[in-house]
Amino acid sequence: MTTSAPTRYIDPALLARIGNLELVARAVVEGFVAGLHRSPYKGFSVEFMEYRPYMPGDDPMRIDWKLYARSDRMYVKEFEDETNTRLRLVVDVSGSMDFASGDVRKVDYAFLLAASLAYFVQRQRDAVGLVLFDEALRVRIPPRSTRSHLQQILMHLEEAEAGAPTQMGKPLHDVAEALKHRGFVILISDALDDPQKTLDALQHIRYYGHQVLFFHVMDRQELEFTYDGPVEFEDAETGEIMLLDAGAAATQYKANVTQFIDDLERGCTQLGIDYTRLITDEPLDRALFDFLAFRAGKG
Amino acid sequence: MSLLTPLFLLGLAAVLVPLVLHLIRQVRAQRVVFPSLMHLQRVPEERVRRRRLKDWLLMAMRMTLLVLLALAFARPYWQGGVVPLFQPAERTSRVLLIDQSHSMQAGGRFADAQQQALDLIAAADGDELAIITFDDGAYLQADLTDDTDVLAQAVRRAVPTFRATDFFLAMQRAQEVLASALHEDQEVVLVSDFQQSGWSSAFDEWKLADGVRLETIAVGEAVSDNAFVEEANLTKTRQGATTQLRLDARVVQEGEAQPLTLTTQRDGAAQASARVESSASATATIQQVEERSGVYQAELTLGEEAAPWYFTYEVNEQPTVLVVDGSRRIRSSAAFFLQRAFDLGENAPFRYRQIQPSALSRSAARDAEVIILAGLDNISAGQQQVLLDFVQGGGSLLWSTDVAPTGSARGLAQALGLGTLGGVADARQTQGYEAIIGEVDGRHPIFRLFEASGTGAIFRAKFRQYVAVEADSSASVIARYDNNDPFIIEARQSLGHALLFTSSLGTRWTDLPINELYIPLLYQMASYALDDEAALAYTIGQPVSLPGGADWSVRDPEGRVVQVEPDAQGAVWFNATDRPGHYLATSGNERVPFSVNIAPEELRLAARDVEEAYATVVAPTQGDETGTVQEAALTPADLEERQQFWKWIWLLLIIVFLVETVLAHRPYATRST
Repeated sequence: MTTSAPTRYIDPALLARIGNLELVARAVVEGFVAGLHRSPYKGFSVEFMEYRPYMPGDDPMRIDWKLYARSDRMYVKEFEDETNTRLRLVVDVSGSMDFASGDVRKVDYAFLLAASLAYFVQRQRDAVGLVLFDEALRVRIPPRSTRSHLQQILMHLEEAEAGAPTQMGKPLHDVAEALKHRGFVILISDALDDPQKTLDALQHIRYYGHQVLFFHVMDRQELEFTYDGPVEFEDAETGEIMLLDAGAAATQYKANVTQFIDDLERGCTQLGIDYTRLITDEPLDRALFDFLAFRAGKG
Repeated sequence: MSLLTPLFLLGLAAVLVPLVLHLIRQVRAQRVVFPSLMHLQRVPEERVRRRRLKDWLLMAMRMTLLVLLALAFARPYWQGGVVPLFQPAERTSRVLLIDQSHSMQAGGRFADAQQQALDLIAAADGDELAIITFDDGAYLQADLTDDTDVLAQAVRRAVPTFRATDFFLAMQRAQEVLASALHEDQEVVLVSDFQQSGWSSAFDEWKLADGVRLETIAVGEAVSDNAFVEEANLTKTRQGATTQLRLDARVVQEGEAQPLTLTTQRDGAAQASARVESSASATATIQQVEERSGVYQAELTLGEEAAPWYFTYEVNEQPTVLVVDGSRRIRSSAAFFLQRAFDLGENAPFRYRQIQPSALSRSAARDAEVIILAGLDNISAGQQQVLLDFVQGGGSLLWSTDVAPTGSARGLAQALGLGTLGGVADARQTQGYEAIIGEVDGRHPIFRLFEASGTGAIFRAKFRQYVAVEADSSASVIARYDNNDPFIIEARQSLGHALLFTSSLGTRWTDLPINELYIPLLYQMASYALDDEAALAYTIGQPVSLPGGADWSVRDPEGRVVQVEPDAQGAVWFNATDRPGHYLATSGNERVPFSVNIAPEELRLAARDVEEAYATVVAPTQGDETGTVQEAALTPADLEERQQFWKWIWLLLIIVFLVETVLAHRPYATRST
């Protein structure tokens, strides 16, 4: 892994301030890829699916010159991934994701990650789809490999807002039932629900033969809990308030969180699911590397 | 409850600080929107409750600390001396003063006093007590102790004495003992008959110390009737071969006065009697004749109930006047005129002897009743001692001079207590004319005759020169010149006395010898010397001076013999005059009989009002005005100093502080899940 990748030093907070997810995703991915020694991915063979008008920025190699000769207009071919490498980004947009102890909310981080992964995958001409969920599936975009499809994904990511309570069980079960073709499922969530529910749902997904990568997004404070003194904690989803001596409660809380993480990680391992814990103040490179490793391992 | 420094209670305002902090802390709790409370909910509720409780408890403890701090500085105390509920068993240091004077023998008083003391000891209950018995002295029988056996033994050992009463000494001694008391609560208990005569004016300048309580226990019932001889005067008059004795006695009756008979008894036999009028105070006179010379010891009695009055007297057939003539001139010398006055043959009232100064010795002085020194300039130390012993042994010394005093003469004058001899004063030079006798003490036995006769002849004598004398403070100037210088000075020494005649008894300095009253004056002075009955009677406790230079054996009225040795200065003092009666001191062939009587004031049994006595001893306070027992006034500072609540408050404060410290920093016990 090179150290000159520019995205390594891009603070997610800085990325979050960039309003255009596509730009961000491109910056992240391009930067990431540029730092690699060689790209281990060659793409897949695809079948022509449709033409669309050339847009500035498209790869010139994809222009159908025969059609141009015939029509004097430039069209690019869009191909459908004819393999079963469909990537589904399953992003948690529940209320608990709307938390930030610093400059980057978990949901923002999740979106950055999802956007970056979508961009990266689409760049490889793989199909990527999107599912946004909280206590139910909110957005469901089937995997496509077209650019327009990417933009649609990015648009949904930009417009999505976190808010509803977390439900890790039913939405993921619904995802499992909705996926028609085997592929990759990347879950980006804080999984703040009963770990067993989460694992059961992931097991359901795995049952259908999908490869699952779980990006467990957490805020630094969720992990380290550096609060002290009397603190009124308000549940971001339910609004419940609990007054605590945070300093006194920290030890038990961290023990609880550690147990929670261990349960998830152990469960994922048992299910053959790649588990990666991401902290929202860490650059996205690591996530991308893990994704690459995941792809390399599974592909 | 009162406060010595209440202003410190303003500090109680600080108590609000922990409360305000507690409330502020609660109000200003940070609010954090957290992703989920699922992990927080698993924090044990018990800890939350315990934390809340701990916060309240800490706040309460901190408020308590501030309250205790303010209270400690405010110095609370409990008025009234007794702290309810918090009064530890306060111990008392107590001195029991038990009166053992003679008056306590009347009517079983002393036995009553002993019982009262034993009762107090039995009820001591941990208090420390001291036992002091007193009469005219104070005697520590048992120092402060809580050992009741020791105290009871001390009380039982005590016996009444014949001595007088001195309440002042007793109170002072009690206070001295209390100086080493263990406890702050201190008390003096006076068990006495409160005899009136025992209270002196010394209490005007001295009171019992502040904080020391006085309890009075009066014992004995009032004695209804009491009669005693207060004093007696013996006059001896030589008449031919017999001596007329005249005894004038003052008899005091307390209670209902009734006629009494006063009788002289000697060797158990009545000698003479006289009737005493029924009066509170009456004089009775007994006259009797003694034919034989000798020393007699007799008693004046008023009946079996009354204490006898003991006296000793001497009867001489022909008393000897010894003249020690030191003059060098014959016709003007004092000896010339003295011999003419005294040497009148066998039937003369006095036997006259004359010696040279060199012959003056103890043996020469032993045979004389009166020694007249005339014109002596040098008196050796040995002769001084002879003369001093003579006077102290009961002899009378008449000293005249017509020479300038020498150092040895001045020394003798000092030793006899006459005064300081100055130089020779020449009246013609100092005042331009001769001095005459200007003033005499008409009540003095020497001059009583002259006053009675109404003659002023004595005042016609002229004195050209005389020795100027500064009389000693203990001496009496019984006659003065018209320029106020002393003419005749008298000093008493133990059993005898000395008369200093500041001019000559010859004609060298004065024309007195050719005055018609010269011989009467001499005879009066000599007779006065033989009237020393009072010198042979002492009171209980009075030391008796015996002729020095030898060991003496003294037999007391009960036949016990006490050996007395000379002190460092060679003087002999017998101090054990503890009981009334006749004593006899002997040393070789010398015998000195003397009598001792109870002090007349001790024979008066009238008691002082107890409350009045209490007020005499205890300084005026604002306390109880009704009871005889009155606590000494204690200022608020005294009360607070006694109770010292602040110490207990500080102790409590420290305990609360330690508990708060431990509680505030104690980590929570984790519950294993």
